[in-house]
Amino acid sequence: MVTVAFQDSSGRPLAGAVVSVAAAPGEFPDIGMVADDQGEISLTTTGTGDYEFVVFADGVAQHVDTHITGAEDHVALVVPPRG
Amino acid sequence: MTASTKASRRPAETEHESPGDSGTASAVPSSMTTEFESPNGLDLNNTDPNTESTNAKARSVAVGESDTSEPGTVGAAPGEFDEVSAVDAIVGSYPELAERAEVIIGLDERIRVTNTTLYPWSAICALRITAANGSRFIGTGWMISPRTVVTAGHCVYLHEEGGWAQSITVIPGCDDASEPYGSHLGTDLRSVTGWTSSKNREYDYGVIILPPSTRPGATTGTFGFATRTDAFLLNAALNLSGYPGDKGGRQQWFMAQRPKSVSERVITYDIDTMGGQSGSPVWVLENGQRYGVGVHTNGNSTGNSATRVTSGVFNNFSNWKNLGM
Repeated sequence: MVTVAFQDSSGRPLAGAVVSVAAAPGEFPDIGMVADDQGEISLTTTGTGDYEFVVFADGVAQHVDTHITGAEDHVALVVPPRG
Repeated sequence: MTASTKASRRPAETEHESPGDSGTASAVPSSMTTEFESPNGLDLNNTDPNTESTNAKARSVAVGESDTSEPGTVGAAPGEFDEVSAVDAIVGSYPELAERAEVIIGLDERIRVTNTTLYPWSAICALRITAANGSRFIGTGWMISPRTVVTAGHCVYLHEEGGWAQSITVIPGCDDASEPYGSHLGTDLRSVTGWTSSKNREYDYGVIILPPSTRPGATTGTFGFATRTDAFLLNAALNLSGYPGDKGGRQQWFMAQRPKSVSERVITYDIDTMGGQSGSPVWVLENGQRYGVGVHTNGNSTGNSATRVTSGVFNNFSNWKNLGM
């Protein structure tokens, strides 16, 4: 399990954002995760590799990518501003 | 709406029940004469991975049935048609798109369902899941009886989040802020040991039994469910509709395609899905009847997939359907 924290470009946690895994190294359950008050989700990783998330917040879906090795406990990702 | 009796439209190995008919269902006594304790809801007494597992204190035993199709009901929501052949399934499932149907086939795009008060869209539910540890998730479910909502096993039993969900709010026909059939809190959850004990993807299915005080399926209509042969499924148009997270989880989105492959317990397809669509119905349309043949569960770059309705799944669905009548 890896904690993934999502924040906007101002550093504010995206509390309540709906996070989906759009791509991962292997097969993953198609459940949507709701970020907690710190903008965090607990991700069950499916292997080492590139992960693509779709983060829906404030009526907008944004894609964000990261590489996860499995050695991390915590990953912080900045969701780029729309446009 | 009645189930077809036209034999020419059925695969040879499949059977149909008449609506309202209890069919040839017969209780199969449990082979277990003694039981182990079941820590954390895990049933250690049975080796059959389709053995029911539940968070309920009074555990009921699944029964067997010999039929392989069980029809749904249109309910109070208006139906669209009576006679549509299997090859017209996409058009039949989404008549508003009839003029675009040939484009839809093979096109890798989801389409928003704009009127979720029409059956079958009314019978598809947004789920708000609160896990045992308080984490929150979204998923999709589908009504098979007034109080029984089918979904993925990993929507009712979350291995990494403490096991059985605390509660799941079921919102049939959710459409942004509109909840045309209300929202319903469910805490009576069922799955099978193949999922809860073994975390085997091939047994990733479950249900929510809503309390007797609420019966949304009586109004929304319900899906039937059925086993189908490999040959049938490989030539079938598979319909999938649910509540994807990249759209916020409150809009219903639909897509249909023929499958890429089928195995004994899994159906794989290129239908686009996203987190939040776990538990979505994968159904076929035969002679105006919708039969769930799979429960969407997984995403993968090589093909998304559903837990297939096999005879074991069918038997549990039949039992759980009766619990929610």
